[in-house]
Amino acid sequence: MGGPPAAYGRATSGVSPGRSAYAGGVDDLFEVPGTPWVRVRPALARLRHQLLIAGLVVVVLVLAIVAATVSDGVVVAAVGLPLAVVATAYGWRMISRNAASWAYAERDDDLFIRRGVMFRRVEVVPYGRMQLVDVTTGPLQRRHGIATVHLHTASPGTSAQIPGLSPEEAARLRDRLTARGEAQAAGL
Amino acid sequence: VTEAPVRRLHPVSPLLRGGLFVVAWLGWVVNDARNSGLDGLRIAISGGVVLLAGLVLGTASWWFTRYRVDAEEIRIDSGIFVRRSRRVRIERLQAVEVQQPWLARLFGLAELSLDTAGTGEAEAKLAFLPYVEAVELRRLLLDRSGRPDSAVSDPRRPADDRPVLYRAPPGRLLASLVLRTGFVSAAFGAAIGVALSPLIGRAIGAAVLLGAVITLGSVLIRQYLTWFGFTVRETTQGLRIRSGLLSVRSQTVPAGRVQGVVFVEPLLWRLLGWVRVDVTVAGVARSGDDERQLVSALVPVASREEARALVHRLLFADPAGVSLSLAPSRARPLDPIGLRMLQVGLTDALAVMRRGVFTTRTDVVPRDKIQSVHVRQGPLQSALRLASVHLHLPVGPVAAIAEHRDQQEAWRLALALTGRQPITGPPSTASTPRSQ
Repeated sequence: MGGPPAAYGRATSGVSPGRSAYAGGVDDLFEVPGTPWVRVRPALARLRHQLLIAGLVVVVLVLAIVAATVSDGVVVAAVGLPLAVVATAYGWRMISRNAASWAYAERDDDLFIRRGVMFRRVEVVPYGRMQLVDVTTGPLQRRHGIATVHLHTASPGTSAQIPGLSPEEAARLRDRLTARGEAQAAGL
Repeated sequence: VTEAPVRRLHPVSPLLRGGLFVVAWLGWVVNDARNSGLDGLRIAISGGVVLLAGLVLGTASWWFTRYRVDAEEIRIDSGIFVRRSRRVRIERLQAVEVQQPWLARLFGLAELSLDTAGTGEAEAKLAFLPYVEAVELRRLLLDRSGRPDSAVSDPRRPADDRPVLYRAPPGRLLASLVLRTGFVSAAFGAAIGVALSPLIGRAIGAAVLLGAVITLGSVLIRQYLTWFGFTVRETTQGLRIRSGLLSVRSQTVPAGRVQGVVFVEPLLWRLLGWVRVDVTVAGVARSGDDERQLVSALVPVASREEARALVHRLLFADPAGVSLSLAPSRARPLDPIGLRMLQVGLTDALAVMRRGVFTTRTDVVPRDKIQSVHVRQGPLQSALRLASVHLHLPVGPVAAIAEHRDQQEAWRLALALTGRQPITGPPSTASTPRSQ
């Protein structure tokens, strides 16, 4: 497969080794040696789990009303309830995995943000490109003691946010990012 | 600073703006003639009445419209019965445009529109001023607002005596508009509709044909008039573009503010070796599709070689000098048709990314303009150890994506594109085991 990076001039297509030959595994793509990833707080998962349970409660209530008022509503409820429970269990697991996947890494010149389990994504934002840094926290987030840091560049394509930081950590991160951004400002 | 004088628009303005009256009157004449036959006297009398009313109203409106430009604001008073006084702070001006609708052009007049929000919608308009005065006022306003005289429209600037870098031949322009994928497929759809007319009834078939001809024809004519006489000249600030038959627009693409360009090649154009070039310029975001197209188009149609030369001048680097590499063949299941078009190349100055089979686009981005990037990997890509790299640029037509690269390469690409490391340096992920 692909040789050294200097090979951009050559075609890199060709026979590729089998999956087993790839000792590093898929996780390589998202490991940065020498830069520890900082994970977000578990409170993010707790918050989302609560919202999920709230959703389940609403569904159960609706099913109960249907069962009580509509003829044959009991059948609907009998089918719907197990479905809702299964969907909630699945959602619970997905939320746990997704929340655990969020992490960021501060490097010398840029910030990495990774997220996602099935569809994974790493955002690379050079400090010099940052236009502004937001810290936001809503009422629910506040109750769980978390805040979101959002980086903006001159491009709307940049989707650089880190949810699930403690407010103090978020404020510190914002200050550090702003300072580094000023030091390395590149503009347009 | 002495008190600025209160001024009026050009006295011919009411005549130009009164065109609407004439159209309404013509409509009435036609309708009347159908009902009671042509009657010269009635037409003459009604014409006189309309003309008189138009003149009186227009003149009154002209009389009551005044503007004054002082150091901080421009103030426009207007309205005959309901008076309106509008003040626009000069420091808030985002763009000042000089436009010449064709009728105004006959009289050597121009319209000045002021935009404060940066949305492309005019906050206030001065219609009409003598052309020279409009240009002078625009320069004055831009000076006072502290904005550089750059990407705003302004027909007929001294740049016209500079040598032409590229001129779109009328025949090629027309052919290129007809051969656009959207146009061809629409015409094809209409042809099918007509072919089916025995099944769906002759009347409906005729209606389809008529509708198609009118729609396609008007699109074609509008596009053709917009791009007619397209020329590119080189100026000190960048490339100056001028086009249009009835209403002329011209603008400068400032070289330093170009964030990227994209070569667009529809399927049929590729056979002829033609290409369109769109450009993303920082700070030029406008509403309206037509306008966006005008602002973002560098060349409506040119040969590959001509387009490459223009882009070379704009980016100070030759996009053709970049050698491209294909995505690995194991990506075939993910994009069986498009794989051969998925190409990426890097030099010290440029990043070039190509994709698309039916309409091939080649995005060219100066590496120092990249805002940020992301690497993404879906489950199928993960199984094939592939990943895609997306570049983020300011709002515009350029959207550079390197689809389905080897994941190690994708990661190196992302780091090279955001950092100042040379691409030949060791990858940051060097310590991970490589499969070689």
